[in-house]
This record gives sequence, C-alpha cells and structure tokens, in this order.
Amino acid sequence: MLLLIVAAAGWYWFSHQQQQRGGTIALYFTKQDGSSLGKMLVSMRPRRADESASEYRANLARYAAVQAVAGPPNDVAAIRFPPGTHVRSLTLDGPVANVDLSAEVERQAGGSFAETGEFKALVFTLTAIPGIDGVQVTVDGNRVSTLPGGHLELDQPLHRADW
Amino acid sequence: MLAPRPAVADSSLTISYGRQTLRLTHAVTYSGHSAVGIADPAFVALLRATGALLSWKTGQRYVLITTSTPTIVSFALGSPRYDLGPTTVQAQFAPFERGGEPYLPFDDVVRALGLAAHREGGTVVLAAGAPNAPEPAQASPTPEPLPPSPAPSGATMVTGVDVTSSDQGLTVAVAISGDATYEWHRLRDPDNRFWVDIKGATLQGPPIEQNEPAPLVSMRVRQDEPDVVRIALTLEGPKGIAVEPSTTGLGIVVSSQDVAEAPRAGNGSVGSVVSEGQIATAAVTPAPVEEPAQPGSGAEENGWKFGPRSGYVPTNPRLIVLDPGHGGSDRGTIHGGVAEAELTLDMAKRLRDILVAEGWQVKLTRSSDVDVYAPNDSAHDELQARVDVANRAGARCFVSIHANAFINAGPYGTTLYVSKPEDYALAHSIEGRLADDGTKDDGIIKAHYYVTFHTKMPAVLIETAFLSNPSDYALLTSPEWRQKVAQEIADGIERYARDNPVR
Repeated sequence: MLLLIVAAAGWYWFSHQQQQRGGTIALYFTKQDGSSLGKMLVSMRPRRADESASEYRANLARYAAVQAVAGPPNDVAAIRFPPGTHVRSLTLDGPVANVDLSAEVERQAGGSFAETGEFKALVFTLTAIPGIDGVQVTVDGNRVSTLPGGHLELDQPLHRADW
Repeated sequence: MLAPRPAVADSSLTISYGRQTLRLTHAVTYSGHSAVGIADPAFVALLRATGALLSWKTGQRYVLITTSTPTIVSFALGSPRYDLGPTTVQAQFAPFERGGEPYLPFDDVVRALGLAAHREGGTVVLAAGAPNAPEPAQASPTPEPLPPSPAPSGATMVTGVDVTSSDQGLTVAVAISGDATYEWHRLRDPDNRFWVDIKGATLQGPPIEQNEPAPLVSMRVRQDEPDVVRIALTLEGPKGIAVEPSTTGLGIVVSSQDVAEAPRAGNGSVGSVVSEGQIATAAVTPAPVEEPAQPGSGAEENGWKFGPRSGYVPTNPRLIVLDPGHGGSDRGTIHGGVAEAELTLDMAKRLRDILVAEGWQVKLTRSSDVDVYAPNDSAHDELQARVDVANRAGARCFVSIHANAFINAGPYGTTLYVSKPEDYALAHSIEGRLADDGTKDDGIIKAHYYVTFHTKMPAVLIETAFLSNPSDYALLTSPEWRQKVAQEIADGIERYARDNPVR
C-alpha cells in the first residue's frame, strides 16, 4: 500500500516536472485595422519520450498553424480565415513549412484586406518557431498562384519580408 | 421607403448661425422631433456655411454629408441608425422621403456638423460645439470599433506648423494652443516615415502638404479624426528624431545623421502638463513585433524581399498601363448588387481619359467586361497576362484599380499596395492626392501581390474604398466620386513623373 502511494506520488511529481518543461508558442492575429498584429502566448506540451526532435517540431508547427487559422477567441476582433478553413496537413521541409489548407479558404470576402491579414497572421505565427522562415501554402493539395480573385501570390513560400 | 407613422406636421424653423438667420421651410415635426428636407434652401445655405457637402440622388438609399473635418456622415432612408465616420449612432428617428425629398433628423444633422444648438425665443441658435462625441447605438449588431473618446474641452488647436533649418538638421515646430496628448511612431528603414498624432486637437486652417529640404522629403499635416491632428513626415533616410514639448507646443527635431537603432514610438503631453514618456513599442507600433532575424531568409536587405530593379528603363516612357481589377468570369467583390469589376473598369476608363488628355499614352489591360487572358482562366494565367501587357510594352508605370471588402462594415478607406522598393515613390505621390478623396487614407502597405510583384516597372495596386462599408459604398457608386478619384490618381501620376524623370 505504501509502495503504491510512493509510486503514485513519484509519477505525479515526475509528470508535473515534464509539464513545466513544455515551451510556449506565439500565436499572431491581425487586427481589424488590416496590418497591426496581436499576439497570444500558448503553452505547448513538452516533448514526449517516444517523439523525436523533428517530430516534435512538426507537431508544434501543426498546432501553431491550426491555432493561427482558427484565430483568437471570438471576443477578439481579428481578421479571420473564412469559416470552415482548416489545416489539412503540415510538413516541414528544411526552413519551409508546407501548409495545406482546405478549400474553404477560397471563399474570401473579396478585396485584399482580409487576404493580407489572414496570411500575415499565419506566416508570422509559423516563422516565430525557431528554424522556420517560410510558409508554402497549398489549397486542397494543389499549388495555386493566388486564391480565385485574390491578390497574394501563393506559389512561392511566404516570408515575413512579404509584409 | 417607410411612410412616417406619427402625425407629420408642417412647421417652420428659424435658425441662426453666425451672422445669418435662416428660415427652414421644408421642416416638419415628426414624432416630436424636427425633420428638415435636404432641398430646403436655408438648410443648403447652412451646409455651405459650415463647409459641408451633401450628396443624394433620387433612388439612392443613403444621404451623405461630408463635413469640413472631413467626416462622412451617412444617413439611410428608413433606418434609425446613421454612420458618423466609423461609428454607428442612433438617430432620433429614421429619415424618410416625402414628396420625393429625404427628410433628416435635424438635431442629429446639427450634431454631425459639429454644432451645438440652444433655443432663444423661437429661434434655434447654432454655434460651433465640442468635437463630436457620439453615443454609440445600443447593441449595434455590427462589431464597430470603440467610439472616439470625447475630446478634452475641445478648445485645443494646432495653429501652425513651421519648419526651420539648423546646422544639425531641421526643426518642425508645431504650435499648439491648449492641452493635448500626443503619440508618435516611426517605421523602419526603408519606409523612413514618422508621424505624430496630436490628440484632442483640431487643425486651424487647411491641411498642409509640401516638400521639405533634407533631411526630410515631405511633410503632411491634416485632421485625421474629428479630434486628432496628424503630422506625417517622410524622411530621406533613417534619421534621428527627437520629440520635445516646447513652450509653444511640440518640437520635432530631425537630425541629418542616420541612426542604426531608434525607438519606434513615444508619447507625451503638451500644455499645462508637459511630458515625454515612452510606451511599450511592440504593442503600439504597426511594424511587426521584433523577433530575432530568421536565418536563411534570402535577399532580405532593407526588409524587402529583393532589391530594387534599378536596371529597368521604360522603352515607352510616355506609356502608362492601367489594370481594372477582375472582369469577365471574375466579378470581384459584390455588395448591394454592385460588382467590383464594373467599378474598376469605370474608374480606369475615366483615368485613361484624363491621362490621354494630358498627353500620356495609356493602355488598359482590359477595356470591357472580359477576362484578360481567357474566359474562366486560372488566377495565374489571368494575373500574368495583365503583367505581360505592361512588361512587354515597357511602360513607365502600372496602376491596378480595385475595390475592397470585408465581412463587416467596419473597415473603410483607401489603401495603396506596393511590392518593390521603387513602387513606393509612385504610391506616395498618388496617396498624397487621394488623401482628400472623402474617405480615410489607410496608407501604403507592402504586400506580395502578384501584379505589383511581377511588373518590372513601378507599380501600385489601389484599393479605392470598401464596398462593404455604407459610406464607402455610397462613394463608390457615385459617378462624381469616381471621377474625382480618377482625377486625383492622374494628378498623383503626373507628380510622380515630374519628380522622377526618366534618364
């Protein structure tokens, strides 16, 4: 009985320690003035024992992309991706994150205002992760020059210097 | 249109403004409030005296009043809410039409004009009141930005801006009467722009826009919001700037020396309490939050994706290529039954006519409602085709015309987009002219847009106004406004060409 308590306490303490070693990532969102960025810090879980460093980075990046695409909580005024847009997949290819977005991203409001704001937040979020400096976007698995009726060039990786 | 439900009684209203006494004859009492017809000669005289312009045409839903501030006030027939600049306000009643003439709530119009009213006997006396401090509509469904906070006492004025040279550089002396707070920002090299907002102040006199000697390039002073005066400077380079309250107001000292690192924002107050404080730069400055430079980012000197294409010489220096956005299978954004593609073509044609009359050659990427490349083509083919028109012709510059939109009515204003360092001079010249186009100047934004990125010559993409915002919508659907914008863009191109002669 005592052994169980000790084991339980030991496990609790050990996992608590692990919790504390998780990092934080910065999630950026573009405010409704079209260009200034807001930032929210989110804690990440620590790397699991069975996860390699590169797997962890990819998982971290995928989480960041999902959050960036979802946007900040609803009471925050932000420029958001069209409803339903989600990250289909994310892979890391050296310093470039390949983000495949769902087809809902094509349902833009029109004009450049929203398009610029949405992708700025996504790019700044992903490039805040050490080792990532470019984001290559695809839509529903396909490379596109721009979104239909869009302005932003999407067939090359996007960098912070694009804004 | 809604018929007025309570009894509408004809009445007349005598108003006094300055030295004028005016008798409103198109006045009715509606639900206990005064309503005035927009065709009333005395009302028209009042508007003229305050420097306001009213526009409405039969069949239009919106009655627009542009005040001298300028603020755009948008009344909608049948709606009890109106827009006072970016804020939605509850009116005393919904404007209605009577005998083909819109009637507006008199008290709301008075307030929108920045006047205060009080009764003296049977006359309503109007005088310049405190800057507008509207109460926002209760439970407005559109997520509007917060209303501007009421200006302190409303008496603070920016009475003048003087630029004097010294051996260290230039001093911009802003004369301010009264108390005010200020906030300044600067953008990173190579944008080299600095601006300071004097809050709680109004500008005495007309807006200023002029070139300045080194280390400045130009200066612009104008009333940015009803209670904010903005002084914007374009610098020759990353010059050192010191902002200091002075006995007469605020001093901006621009040094001839470049600085490697400079604070990007600051604030303070002038008047009876003088201070120069610092605010957290990251939270406020529009430039992105600083992160350590990412390795291997490619040719990113000066923050541009690549260096200027200084090798470009136009083979056709008298040729300007205009690109009406969208068209054919791509309608662009659509609001209130109006498609962006129609508006862009209309504005481009007006602009073409003005430029041709001034001696330019002009080529449109499309002159009718068609895709440029082929019907239902891909975005790549379509945009590349537009770029090709300009690149193959060796044009002097490329101007793409669009209308903007968002999912809510909040954002409004004119924005210019650039992609290459050399685009900036063209954008700056055009922005200077468009600043007074009747909607907000949202500035020049760098963006990796296909057409501005791939054209070899200086290029700019102009989002003229937001179709999704009622005030902007009324402007976009007004042929007079489109003509005005075309003229302003033409003036900007002229000025750019004059200031940047071809070798």
